[in-house]
Parts: sequence; structure tokens; C-alpha cells
Amino acid sequence: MSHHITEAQDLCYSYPDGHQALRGVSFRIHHGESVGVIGGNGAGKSTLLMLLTGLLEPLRGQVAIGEIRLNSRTAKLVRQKLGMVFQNPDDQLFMARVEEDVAFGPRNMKLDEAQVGERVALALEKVGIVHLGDRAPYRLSAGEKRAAAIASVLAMGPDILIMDEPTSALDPSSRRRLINLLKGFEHTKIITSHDLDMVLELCQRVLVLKDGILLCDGPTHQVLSDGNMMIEAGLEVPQSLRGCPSCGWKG
Amino acid sequence: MASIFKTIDHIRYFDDLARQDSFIHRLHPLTKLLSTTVYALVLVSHDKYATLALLPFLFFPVLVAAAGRVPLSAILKRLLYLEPMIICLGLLNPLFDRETTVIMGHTVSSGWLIFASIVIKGSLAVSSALLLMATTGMEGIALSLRMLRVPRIMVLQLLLTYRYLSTLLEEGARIMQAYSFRSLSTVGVAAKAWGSLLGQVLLRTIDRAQRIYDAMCLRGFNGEYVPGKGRRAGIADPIYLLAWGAFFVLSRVFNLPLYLGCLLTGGVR
Repeated sequence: MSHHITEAQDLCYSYPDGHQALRGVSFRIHHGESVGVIGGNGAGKSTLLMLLTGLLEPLRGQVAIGEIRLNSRTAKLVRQKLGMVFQNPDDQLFMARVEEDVAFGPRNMKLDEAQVGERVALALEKVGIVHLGDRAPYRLSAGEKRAAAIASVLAMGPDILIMDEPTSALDPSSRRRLINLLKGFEHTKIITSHDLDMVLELCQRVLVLKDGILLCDGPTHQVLSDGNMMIEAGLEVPQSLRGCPSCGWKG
Repeated sequence: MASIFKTIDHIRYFDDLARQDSFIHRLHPLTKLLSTTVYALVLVSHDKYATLALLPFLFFPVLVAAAGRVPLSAILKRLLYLEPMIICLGLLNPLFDRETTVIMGHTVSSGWLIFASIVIKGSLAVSSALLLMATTGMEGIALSLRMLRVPRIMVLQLLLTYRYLSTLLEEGARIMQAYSFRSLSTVGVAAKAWGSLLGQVLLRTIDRAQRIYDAMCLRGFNGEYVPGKGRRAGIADPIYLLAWGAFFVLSRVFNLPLYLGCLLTGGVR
């Protein structure tokens, strides 16, 4: 795994209807870091992910992955280093079988079939769904779909894993399985979520967005404990940091 | 609304059938595509009055369905949806062709004979195409088409249209569900709501299709569908192709039912 730095400089983006989604966001994420991106609805989290993956082009500012500046010419190269797991796995799984879906990326990388097979087997094994390889994606449960979506991204061997609301629509046990799975990854992780307990558990650092502005960037525990800042961002201090009123535990 | 969910199930049912494991499923997709294509071509090459001579062609769909473990009811049900179109194609013949012809001692209208021939040919050809789908799947068909050097843009169009169909139906079903929960009417959609509902379906489907396309681009898609190698062709593939090819040619050259009838009734000279 190469030591890539993800850097955003003064990112600005407005949608065609005039809504300013991001206003001058800058940060630098080092190799192996797990970073949570949090904020209220409409804060600009998903837009930020789209800009980081080159699905949208910033109106101002730039994104760089390692030494490559992201633009339409370099997008293909950059996307080999990035893997994005969408919020809705149904948007990501479009082939008739899970195996075929996982093989879609490696085949586009023009690998030979033996290598494609190896990557598919390894990715399915990593997320623990080898037994689902022959199943149709639409027959899977939400948790299985999420695992299949992650496998489809891992099969491309990305250095940086970007996830949009990975725990949304998952039941508690599927959520726990996913968190344990993500804990085992050495990739650089950028995760947007409203599940602040998950962010607290997985990410050492957190970026807080509010109305397209980077409100705060700091260690997760410290940022999430700051009640005033969290309220300003339209969030709440997560349950696990609130303490217990009956036993007096401070959290 | 229930009918939209049923249609989605119909599409998925065929995908499920294509994932089965049987002798037919284990054949190379190209073998199945070629045998089906030859079948359809030989079938339509028959004389416009041919009816009894088409009977041997019933063997192909029946045997493939049996060997491929595809329920005939699944094929017949879908065939029924297309039957009105096939009937419409041949419906004018009885009106315009008033000639008569004698078959087995009975005088029959030529127009009705052509009509029957069109219906039989159409039904058999559609059945074989449905069976190809049910035993090969769209990805397998796409792989075979690329092997036959069909332009990649056409193969891609075929695949994406197939996937887009499910997306369109899923979005349609969601909107209809939302509508039915809040409308007081229990039958259908009010005329004044149709415009906005269809507009919503279209916009949401475009949005969804864009997200799917984004997901494809992020995984290296650049306009070219790269199929896998699929199953390897085995010894069964050329044998299957040659056996059916020989049968189709024999059935085309000789009127097998007539020969069989003469043989049984002692009429063979």
C-alpha cells in the first residue's frame, strides 16, 4: 500500500439551483488515518465525497491524492486508489450475481481472469461472504448487501476507502459486524455518518461540517464531547459520551 | 401497484432461473445463442403455408425446457403476454387472402393457413428466445454477442436497457406505493395525478441511473463492458450444436410429420 495523502484545498461547490454546498473546505488526511465526516443534513458531507472521488468538479479549489491533482484527465488514475461505498448498496450492485459484481472493477482494470478470480475470492473472504458469491444481490439482506458493496470496492485494491453512511438501514447485529470488519482494515478511511457512536469507535479524527463550512477538525473524542460545538453543528453528543444520570458515570 | 411488483418478480425470476445448474446451463452461452438463432432462422424460412411441417420444431423448446429445468408454465405465461402481438401480425391474412387450398382432403382457407403458420412460428421463436434468457442470462448473452463481434456499444445498450428496466420499475413501484397509501381511491390512479406521477418516476429513475453510472465509473468503467471469459466450451458444446443443427435441417428439408403419418397409415411409397 503506497503512502497517499488526501488533500483538499479551499473546496467550493454550488449546485445548478444555486445552493452553495461547500464553501472553502480544506484538510489533509494522512495514510492510514480513519477520519469521520459529520454534520447535520445538508451540511455538505455527500458533496464532499463526490468531490473527493471526482464525480463532481469543484468550482474553486482542488483535490489531490498523493501527488496527483484530481481533474477529468487524472480521474481514472485516482479512482484506482480510491474505493467508494455508496449509501444505498442497491446503487452499487448492478450485476446479476455478487461474484460478477465484485469482478466488475478488476475486469475493468484489464486483469486476466485468473487474477480477477483471485481478487474476487480474497475480497469475498475479507468481508465474510464467500457463501453468497453465487447469489443475486437483490436477494440479500441489507447487511449482506453492504458487505457485498464493500467487497466490490476492496477487489480493486484501493488505498483509500470512502464510505457514505455505511451503517444506515442496518440492524444492530449487522452494524456491529460492519464496525468489526472496518476495524480490521488498514486502509485510509473517510466515513460520513450520523452514527456518531460508530464514528467514535472507528475514527481517530473527525471533520465537522456546517452549511458547507468546515466547523471543526480534531481528535474524535475531544470534538464529539464538545456539547456547544455539536449543537451548533446540528448534532448531539453521542450516547456513549453523555454519562449515566442514575449511576453517576461521566462518560 | 401489485402488477409492478409482479413484473419486477418476473424479471428477477428469469435471472434466478439462469443461475440454476443443469446440462443446458453448463453449455457455453455461445452454443445456446447459436442454436437458438439457427432454430429461429430455419423456422421462419419455412413456406408461408407451412403448419404441420412446423410440428417437429416443438421438440427444441420442450426438450431444452426439460433439460434446463425451466418450468414450461413460466415460458407459456410470458408467451401469453406477447401472443396478442403475434396474432395482430397475422390477423389481416384471412381477410385479404381468400384463396382455398386442400389439406388432407379438407378444403381450407389459405389466409387462415398463413395466419396459423405465423402464430406457430412466432410462438415457437419467442419461446426459444425466452428459454435462452432463462438458461443463459443477460450477461451470458452479452458475452456471446461480443464473441460474435457485435459492436460493443450495441451490447452495452442491451445490458444497460435490461438493468434500467428493473430500476424504472422499482422507482415506479415506490411511487405507486406512496400514492396508494395516501389516495382515497382504491382503483388505479386518478387521471389528474398521472402527469406528475410519471414525471416523478422519470426524474427519480434518471437520478438513480446516474448514481448507478457513478458507481460504475468509480470502478473503472469507461464505456466498455468487459465480460468475463464465462464457462469453457466442452465436448458437449459442438455435439449439442451439431445435433440440433442436423435436426433443424432435416425438419426443414423433409416434412417429417407427413412421412411419419404415411409410415403409420401404410401410405409410404
